Amino acid sequence: MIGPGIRFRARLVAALGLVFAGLHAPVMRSAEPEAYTLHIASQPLESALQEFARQTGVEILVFSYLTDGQRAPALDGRYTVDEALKALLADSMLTFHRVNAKTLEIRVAAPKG
Amino acid sequence: MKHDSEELTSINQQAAHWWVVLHNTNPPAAEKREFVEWLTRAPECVEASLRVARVHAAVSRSDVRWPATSAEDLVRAALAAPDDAVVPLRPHVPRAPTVKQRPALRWMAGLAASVLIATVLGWWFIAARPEQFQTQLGEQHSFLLADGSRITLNTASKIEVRLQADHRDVTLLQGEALFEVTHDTRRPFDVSAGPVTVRVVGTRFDLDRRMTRTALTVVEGRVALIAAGARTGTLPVLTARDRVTVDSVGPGVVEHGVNLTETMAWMQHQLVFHHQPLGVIADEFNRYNRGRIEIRNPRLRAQEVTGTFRSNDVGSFVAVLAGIPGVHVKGDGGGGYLVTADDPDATAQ
Repeated sequence: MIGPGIRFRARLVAALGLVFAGLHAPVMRSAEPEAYTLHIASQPLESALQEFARQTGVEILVFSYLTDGQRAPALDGRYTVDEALKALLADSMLTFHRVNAKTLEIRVAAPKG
Repeated sequence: MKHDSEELTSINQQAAHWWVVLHNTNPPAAEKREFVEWLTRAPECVEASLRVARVHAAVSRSDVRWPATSAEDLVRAALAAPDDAVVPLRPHVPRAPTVKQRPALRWMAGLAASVLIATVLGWWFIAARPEQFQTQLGEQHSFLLADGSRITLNTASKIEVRLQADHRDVTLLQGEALFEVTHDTRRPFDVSAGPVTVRVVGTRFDLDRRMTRTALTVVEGRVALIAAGARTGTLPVLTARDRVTVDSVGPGVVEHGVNLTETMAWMQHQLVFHHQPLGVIADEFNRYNRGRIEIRNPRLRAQEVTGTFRSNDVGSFVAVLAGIPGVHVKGDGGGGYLVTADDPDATAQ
C-alpha cells in the first residue's frame, strides 16, 4: 500500500536533492578563476609577493635566495592569481607551482627547449 | 606596617586601624592596596573589618578617636549605645533618644550596617581582585576591560589584570598579546612579562613572551620600558614601529621601522615572514598547532624563506617542504610531521 511513509521519503529525497544542489553551486562557480582587484607598487620581488598574498588571501612560500636582489613591476587592476603571478615574475627567471588549491610555491623556471 | 594575624585581638586591632586609615578623606592608594592585601588574607580579616565597622557605627560620637580610644572602649560603647545609633553611613547626624533596648533590633540594625559596609569593602575587593584571561593552543580572543582598553590574546596565552583607582596592572603570564590602551594620564597602565615591565598612558603595542626572551613592539603612541631584568639605569622609551627584545642579559638595541604588518599578522590568524629560517617558521607553526613540525636537518632548518600562511594550515606548509627534491616528510604518528633530508646540502631545487 502506498502510504504517507513513501510520500515522506519522496519529499525527503527531494529536499536532500535541493541541499546537494546548494552545496554544489559554489564548487561549480569556483571552477572559473576568481579575479582580484590588486594595487601593488613596484618593489623588491619578495615583498611584492607578500603584498600579493595579503591582497588575494593565498598562501605563498619562496626561498629567499631565489628572490634576492630582484624587483617586481607594479600591478594595478583586476587579475586572476595566475595573471598576477606571471606579471610579478615577468622580469625574473622564476615560475610558480600550485601545491594545493590555496598554496603557491615560487620556483626556478624550467629552461625552455 | 606589619600584620601578624595570629591572635584575634590583633586582627581586630588591625581592622580598627584600617577603618580609621580608610576613613581619612583621601586615603593614599598604597594604603588601599595594602588594606585589600590584608583583607584577602583570611576570612577572619573580613569578619573583623565588618565587626569594627559595626562597632564604629554604633559609637560614632565625635569624641571617639583611634588609637586614643581602645578597641575595648569601642566595644563597651557599642554595647551601651542606643539602638538607632546603627546608622553607619551618616554617623554625624544627631540621634533621637530611644526608650527601649531591644537586642534583636540592635542585631538586625548591625546586620544591615554590615551589609552596607560589605558593599563598600566589596568594591575594593572587586576593584583590586585580579582577573585572569587565557587562550588555548591555536585560539585567540579579544577582551574588553572595564576601562575600555582591549587586550587580544594570541595562541596559548594567559594574562592577569588588576584595575585599580589609580593604577592599571597587567601581567602577561605566558604567550603574546596586543594591548590597545585607553588614554588616562591619572591611571598609568603597567604591563609586566617576567623581567620586563612597560608603562603606557594610551597606546597600542604587542608583547611577545617566549622562553628566554620577550619582544615589545609599539604600534602607536609611546611606551616606556621601566624594568628589564637585571639592567638598571636609563631604559628606552619606544615610539611607533620600534621594537626591543629583552633577554636574561637585558634589553637589546632598539630596532626602528619594524614591519608592523608582519608583527600584527597573527591578529588575522596569519604567519607572515620575511627572510626567516625554515626552522623558525616551523617553531612558529608549533605555537599554534597540536600537530608539530620537526625539521631534523640543520641545513634545511637554516634555509631562509619569505612567505605567508594561515597559522593553522600546517598541512600546506608541510606540502611545500615535501615537494622539495631530497626532502622527506612523514607523520610522527601523533598528528605531527618529521622532516628529513637525504643530503645535508638539501636546498629548494
